[in-house]
Amino acid sequence: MSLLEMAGVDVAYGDLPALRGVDLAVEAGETLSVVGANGAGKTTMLRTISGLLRPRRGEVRFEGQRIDRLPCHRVVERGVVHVPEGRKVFPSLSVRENLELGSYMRAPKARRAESLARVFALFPRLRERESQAAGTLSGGEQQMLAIGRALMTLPKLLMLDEPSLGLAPLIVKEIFHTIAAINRDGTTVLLVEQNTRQALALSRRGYVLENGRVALVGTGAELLDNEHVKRAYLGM
Amino acid sequence: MGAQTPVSLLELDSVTKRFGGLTAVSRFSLSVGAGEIVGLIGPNGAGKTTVFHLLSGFHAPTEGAIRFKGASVIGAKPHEICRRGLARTFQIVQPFVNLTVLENVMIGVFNRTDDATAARARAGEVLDFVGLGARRNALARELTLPDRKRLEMARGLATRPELLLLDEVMSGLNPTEIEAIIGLIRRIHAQGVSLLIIEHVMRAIMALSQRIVVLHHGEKIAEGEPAAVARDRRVVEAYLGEESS
Repeated sequence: MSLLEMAGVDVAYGDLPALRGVDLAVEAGETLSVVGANGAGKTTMLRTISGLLRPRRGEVRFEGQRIDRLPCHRVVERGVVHVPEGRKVFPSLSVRENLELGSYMRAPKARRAESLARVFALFPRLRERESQAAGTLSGGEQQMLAIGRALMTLPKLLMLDEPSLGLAPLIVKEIFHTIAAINRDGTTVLLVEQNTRQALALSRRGYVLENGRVALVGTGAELLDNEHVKRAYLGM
Repeated sequence: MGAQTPVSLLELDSVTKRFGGLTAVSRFSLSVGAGEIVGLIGPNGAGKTTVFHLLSGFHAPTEGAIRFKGASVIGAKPHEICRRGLARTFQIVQPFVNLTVLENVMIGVFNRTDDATAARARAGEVLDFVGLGARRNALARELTLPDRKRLEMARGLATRPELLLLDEVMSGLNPTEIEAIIGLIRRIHAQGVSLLIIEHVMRAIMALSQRIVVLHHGEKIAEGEPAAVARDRRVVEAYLGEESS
């Protein structure tokens, strides 16, 4: 049994289909990336798993149980956390308050101090800025905060939507290194990225989405070497 | 400056911008010659977008001079600066979402004319040029991100700029989509438009720029040809990071 499974999932916005018959399996412990053009359905996929969108057909299962009819907060309780594109930190709250908001449920709350220490160890910059308003952080620091806030919920599956968006090369490297470290610590990672090369290099496996369908599945190395991927997504 | 330096279109002379106690840009000097493509890079929060705000009249500098075609732009309204031939795009694209793509571009043309027929024709030409001709009657909110980036550039081009400022027009695009935008920027340049480009996509900025300027904490830490800047120790430390094997 995979940790997360999507089976035959259709999602549409009004008349406009966004996902068509999508099958996805995320194995416990892996880093899996989903790449594809803008508009291919990558963000829709994450929003469907999170319960922000409802499939018209098909099922989403986490640890063998259906989650596609659960409200978002129940999905989070099961251990699935979504770091949205554009970070979405609370700008007027402090760094620490943003982090604490990640741990308001009972089990994560009981381990708040331990989780905070872990997040500050991963992102020392956040400790330095603990009482600063999140809106005053740089883009890279806000991305660290969004990931840190997600870790505060003690996720089994961490879903990241374009964590490298708008970030300088040095910060992108740091963020990717940190994602690898989080995965090594035992958290399964589902990564959606435009930064195709770095995402596939980091991942054990990858999916290529095209027009709402899964076009290719393979190991990160296989996909990086695939002629279609090179032409369509790596600009080679 | 060297003998082959082109005529200066834009000049910043020791420009400083403070917001309260925060110095966002510090004694920054820059010139962009007619026909040049200059890249402006630096870490997040370095002050790059603040420079664009200063050039386009959204902010006034605390100190220093900014001249476009020899005349100061300080105190001029954004639309006046635009009419003089300096246009910009926004990192977070700002279309009128409930207008059509064509209408969005017509608004740019209206900076030069109040003849709606002429504006419609010119807007159509610009849309064909950027590759959005087939989407002219779509609502702006229906566009995908790459098309929104093209629309943002079309709105700038519609004002007939001599200098176009591009703020991260490639962010959020995949490598193939980036290639297409690089091609579009080259075509814009071939039409005689000078460009100042903020971009984090190094492959693109290295390929496009004749000169790169690096900002860090509001200060210029390096300037030069792309290959030389990429080797600069301070740039590697502040921005690029050590090459990971």
